[in-house]
Amino acid sequence: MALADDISDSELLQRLRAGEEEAFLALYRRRQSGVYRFALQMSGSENIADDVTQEVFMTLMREAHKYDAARGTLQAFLFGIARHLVLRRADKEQRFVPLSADGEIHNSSAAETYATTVDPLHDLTRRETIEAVRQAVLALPTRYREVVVLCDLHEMSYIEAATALDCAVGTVRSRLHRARSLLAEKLRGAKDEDAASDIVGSPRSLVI
Amino acid sequence: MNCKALEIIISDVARQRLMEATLRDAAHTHTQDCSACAARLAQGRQLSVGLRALATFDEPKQASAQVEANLVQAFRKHHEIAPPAAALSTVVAPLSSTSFAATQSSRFTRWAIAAAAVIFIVLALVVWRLQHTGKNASPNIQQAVQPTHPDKSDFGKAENDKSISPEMPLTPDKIASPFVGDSHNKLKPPHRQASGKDAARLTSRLATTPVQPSPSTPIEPAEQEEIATPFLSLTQGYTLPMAEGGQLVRVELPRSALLSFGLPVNAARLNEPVKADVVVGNDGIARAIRFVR
Repeated sequence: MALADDISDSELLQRLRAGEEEAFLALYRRRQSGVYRFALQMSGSENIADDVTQEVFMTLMREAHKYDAARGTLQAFLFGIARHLVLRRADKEQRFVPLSADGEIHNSSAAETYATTVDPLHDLTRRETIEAVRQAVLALPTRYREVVVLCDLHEMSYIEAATALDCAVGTVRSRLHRARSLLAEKLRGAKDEDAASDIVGSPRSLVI
Repeated sequence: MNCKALEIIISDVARQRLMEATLRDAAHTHTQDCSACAARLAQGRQLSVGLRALATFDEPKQASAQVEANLVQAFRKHHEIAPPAAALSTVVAPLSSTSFAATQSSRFTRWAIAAAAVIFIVLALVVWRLQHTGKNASPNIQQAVQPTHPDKSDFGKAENDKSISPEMPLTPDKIASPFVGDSHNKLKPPHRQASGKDAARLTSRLATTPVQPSPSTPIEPAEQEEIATPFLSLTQGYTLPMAEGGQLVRVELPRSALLSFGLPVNAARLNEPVKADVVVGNDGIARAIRFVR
């Protein structure tokens, strides 16, 4: 029998501490999707997202007492754990999209996908464009990527994002502003690059 | 509102976040007059649309069912047995080859293997070194090493043994011919410090032992009238029991060697070699030396 949806996270957490399996399951089912998507959008890998989700809830199981409701929502707390795990994983595996100093996209599949769109900034709802946006987000430096994922993709408030990232609200705000500028540049830059390659008749334009 | 002020809030306006109505109105008013800011705002809005589309696209995505199964299993074990928190991660089966739990345990395994490998290499080097040293040593040394650790009773026995009387001369076959090189430097003494008494006894014995030259060498009258210094110990108290015997080797050394024994040297003849008799034990170690004129 599933617990009612109107039970707060704090109450579920209290029951979880008492060893109530249903409370743990209810909490997991309520929050796992967000954690999974956060990890997926940060890493671009479903395997990593699965692993991170599992580890986040394992941590919650072990260290539920560390959550302080006065400091922020449980979601922000979980995202904070997930963020650490993703970054640790990124450091270890270096499987994420490589970044250069100027933040150019080096993922060829992303560039190719993006090149197929005629005008991405005017046709962002297309599936290909969605993937291009995903790759552009993945190509952002981590500190910018995480604010975009939290604030734009998960629609978190600046305060919640600041809790998850353990930084000041002003930092979140300024990073988001910079991140969005970078994203717009990347998307526009890819479009311009594609147009230029069409003019000079590069191999890529021939393939396309 | 000017362009600079709009720049600060343009993301919030483009994202249509909750904000002060007056600020939003001012931003809209400015974009009606400024085409550049209007273009930036439009771009920001399009970006928001794209990001929202990505968020919507990802909305149904969730962790695999295996994660839930693993967590439930872990939760049950955690609350049944209540193992220490650190051990809990081992309860959950890894989802993939890149699972964190697997990564952590494999890290410890790797360290353990590395440590074992280092220990093995060190041990192998030690064994090789010992074997190598053993091969370099002469059979005499190998035989002599064992008797260098006798207890005091062995010394007593040696003293009582009539066959090792100080008067017993060294046989001709024990006297090696001409020069045997620097055996003192090549061969290290055994790791045991014998009493200075043994060294003194050996030295005094050899000092009284007449040197018999090799039968193949014709005996010259001059050699029979040699004047020799007393035997000087080379081993600083290291010696073998008397029962081991030894060899007397005639060598020629640079005259400067006298200096190292504190003996006077004629500076005019410094370039001339000097003869010396070296007592070499059965282990090949030089025990004592006397200089001959």
